[in-house]
Amino acid sequence: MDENTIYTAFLASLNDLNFEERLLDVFGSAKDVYNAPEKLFLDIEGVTAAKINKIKNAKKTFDIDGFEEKMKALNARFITRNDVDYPEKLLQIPDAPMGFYIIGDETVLKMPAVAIVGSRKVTSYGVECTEKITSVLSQKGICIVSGMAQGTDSYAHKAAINAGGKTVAVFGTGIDMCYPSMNLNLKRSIIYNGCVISEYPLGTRPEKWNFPFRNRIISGLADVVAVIEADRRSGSMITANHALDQDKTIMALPGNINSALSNGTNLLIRDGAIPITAPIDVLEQMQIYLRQDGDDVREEQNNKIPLENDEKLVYDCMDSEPKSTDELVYMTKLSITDVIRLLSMLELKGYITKASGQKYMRCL
Amino acid sequence: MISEINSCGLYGIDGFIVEVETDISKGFPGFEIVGLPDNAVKESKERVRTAIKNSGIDFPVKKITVNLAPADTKKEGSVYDFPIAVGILCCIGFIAQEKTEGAVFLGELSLDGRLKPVNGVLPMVMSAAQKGFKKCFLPSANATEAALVADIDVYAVDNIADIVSILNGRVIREKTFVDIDALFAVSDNDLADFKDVKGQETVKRALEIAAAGMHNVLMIGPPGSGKTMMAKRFPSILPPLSFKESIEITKIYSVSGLLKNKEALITKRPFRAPHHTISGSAMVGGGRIPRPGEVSLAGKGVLFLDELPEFQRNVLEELRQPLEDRTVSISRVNGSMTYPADFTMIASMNPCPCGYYGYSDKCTCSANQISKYMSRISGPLLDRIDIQVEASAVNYDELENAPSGKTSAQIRENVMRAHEIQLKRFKNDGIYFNSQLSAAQVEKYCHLGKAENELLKKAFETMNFSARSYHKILKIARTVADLDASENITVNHIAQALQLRNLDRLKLS
Repeated sequence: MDENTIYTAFLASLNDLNFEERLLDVFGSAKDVYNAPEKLFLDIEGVTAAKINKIKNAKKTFDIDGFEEKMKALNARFITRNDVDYPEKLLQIPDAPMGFYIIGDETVLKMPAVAIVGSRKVTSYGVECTEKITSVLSQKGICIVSGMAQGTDSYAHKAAINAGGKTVAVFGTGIDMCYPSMNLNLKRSIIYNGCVISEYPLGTRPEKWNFPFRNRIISGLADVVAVIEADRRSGSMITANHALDQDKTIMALPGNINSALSNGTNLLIRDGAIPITAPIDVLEQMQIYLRQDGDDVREEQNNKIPLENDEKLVYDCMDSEPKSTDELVYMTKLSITDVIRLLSMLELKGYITKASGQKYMRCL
Repeated sequence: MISEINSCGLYGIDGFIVEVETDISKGFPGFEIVGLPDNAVKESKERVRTAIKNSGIDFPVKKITVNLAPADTKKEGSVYDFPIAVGILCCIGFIAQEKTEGAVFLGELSLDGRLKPVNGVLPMVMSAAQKGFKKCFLPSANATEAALVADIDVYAVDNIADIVSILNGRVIREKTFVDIDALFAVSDNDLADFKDVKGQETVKRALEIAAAGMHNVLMIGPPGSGKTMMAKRFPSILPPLSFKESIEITKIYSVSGLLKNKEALITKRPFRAPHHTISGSAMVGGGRIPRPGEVSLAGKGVLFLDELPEFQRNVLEELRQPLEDRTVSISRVNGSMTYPADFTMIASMNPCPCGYYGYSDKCTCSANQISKYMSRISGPLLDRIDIQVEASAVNYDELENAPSGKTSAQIRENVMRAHEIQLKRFKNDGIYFNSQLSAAQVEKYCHLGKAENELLKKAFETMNFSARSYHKILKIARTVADLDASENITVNHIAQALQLRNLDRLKLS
């Protein structure tokens, strides 16, 4: 690890991008900032005592000598803007970070990528769509970028890994942390199937003001940002805003207008986001045309195992709005015993999926 | 002058014989009771003295010593009032000692000489009958309960004057008789019936399967979906109690003092629904001298835990041993007791703290709150619950138009047939029902064909089950097959079982 990288990591630990850029302009290199006497800072216009204190504190807490060893123990790297591994896409966004920490394979950052974002609370519809869209994209060699939060993010990462694709998690904490902690295993498999990155210094604990700002990196690394489910005021909407600033394509999954978790995405569509009606819509935006490989996701339904008579009877009573078993019993006039059995068979054949609340719906 | 009267004491839910020896001799007037009496027994001095005096008999002004043998076992309660009084009456010549031979005396005295009922009569009289006693004198309020015991004649006594007349032959007292068939006959009618439950077909089917294999059940659903209503009806689809089972439960209720006045025998399967603020000792049993807890009181019946995650963690963890062993051992300074705890657990819970997650937009809980709520139930406890079923939110139209389903009696018939099949199958295995199958026994009795294996494999690949579900699904499928009176588990049975492991598949975080 070269000297400049370490000092840039120190500079980035100030956690104040504008100020960092300014210091870099004045002093020329991160090392000079570190070694500059306090007096020199006073001469810079607009620098307050608080900011100088910040530098002093950073010097105290940031361990220049031990940095390399610490990173080695974590198997992590710090990639600065000068590094060849710093992805072009990220350089072009406003407020591109000075550098970022990474564990895992840095080459995936340069792959064509879709950011999949959504709320932490999910509906069965959201989960179903996340998994469906993600696995199609992953199979086509598209990297999935997300934030490893609970809910949509986690489902997206998991689906990408299960489909054998690559995935990137952008942390709002230090890269050595795991938030939420229940995702520890997920973090490991993300590292194995891609990488986790963060602009925050090692040991940064989860602070709620860090998360919205890191969202710009999620959208920055992606070519298309797909919002699955979002409340009107939520982190996913912030990501969409960042994507707008960064000139990325924004797509949103249309939802029930009565669902609280879809009013954000519906709003995005009203304001010009492209609705996702099938996974292929996202691929089209990525300009990857499936017909080259000779298969089409839209025609996939035809490959399913044919249904038997009474299976068809139950299937015909269902649609994409979840139906309870009671309703199905009354509609089909079959016994509950048969309905339960047929639901399992339909599920195993991939025609329907279980929603919460003892309800079932057709697959997309 | 010395006398010797027999009485009984309680150790856990078993009785033992206590000899009450009374000696009256000259000396400084006094009244002493020895033989490890507790406070209630010590206080009986005053009750005995006053009761005898108020029965018109002069209480002897002499030195009275009473010994309760065996002297090394603790005696508690007020049951010795009556035998001590009889002992004193023997000593002063009102009753001849030989008249009391072969008889046990139980009862508390009131100050005017009347006899009052005591707890634990059934096990005490049973132990007396076992030891060869032929007669038993006790308060009238306890008489029917005691009369359930065969081989011993029970005589109801009203007061001290009464016993003196009876034993001296001045009054002929008929022995108490109880008509057991009549007791069982009335019990069946007042159970709530499943036909009152409209909708919730899946849960009803799940409960039928649960009753057939004696599986524990967890119901997940929003408030007002009828979880409690259905749980209350669960005893009505279990087979009626046999006399033997009935006696076993009555013993526990007798010891706990929960037998209501007119009810001599518990003929209905118990339904216990403790509130979620219950303490550990109230749940599994405890106290200075360990008493049976809810798990024992729910024996042969249902322990219903509403709002499962709201129970204290340690209380839920303490349920693990009784669920596994069907007995519970409690050790305290004063002794270690083992009580039966052979119950079916039915638990219910909401999907989140507010109750509506996954059912309606009303849910206001954060993702974190929801996963915290779900994690309050530990894995080992969930491991002991075979069936996890979701209740759907009920809407008004459905309530209006839903046809009423099978009656409890119809379901019970199927359940009893399945029980028979299981009892026959397991007669050499030391177990009774599919829910008790060990891992090795699952391999032996839940054999799958090729098609079935493939189906199960596919289900595990696509349906998000955890590994611990594997044996549960096989056990449930075995019970479904038994309900169909089918020798082998078929694809259809497995397909049904797959829908009864829902908690694994809830997409919550």
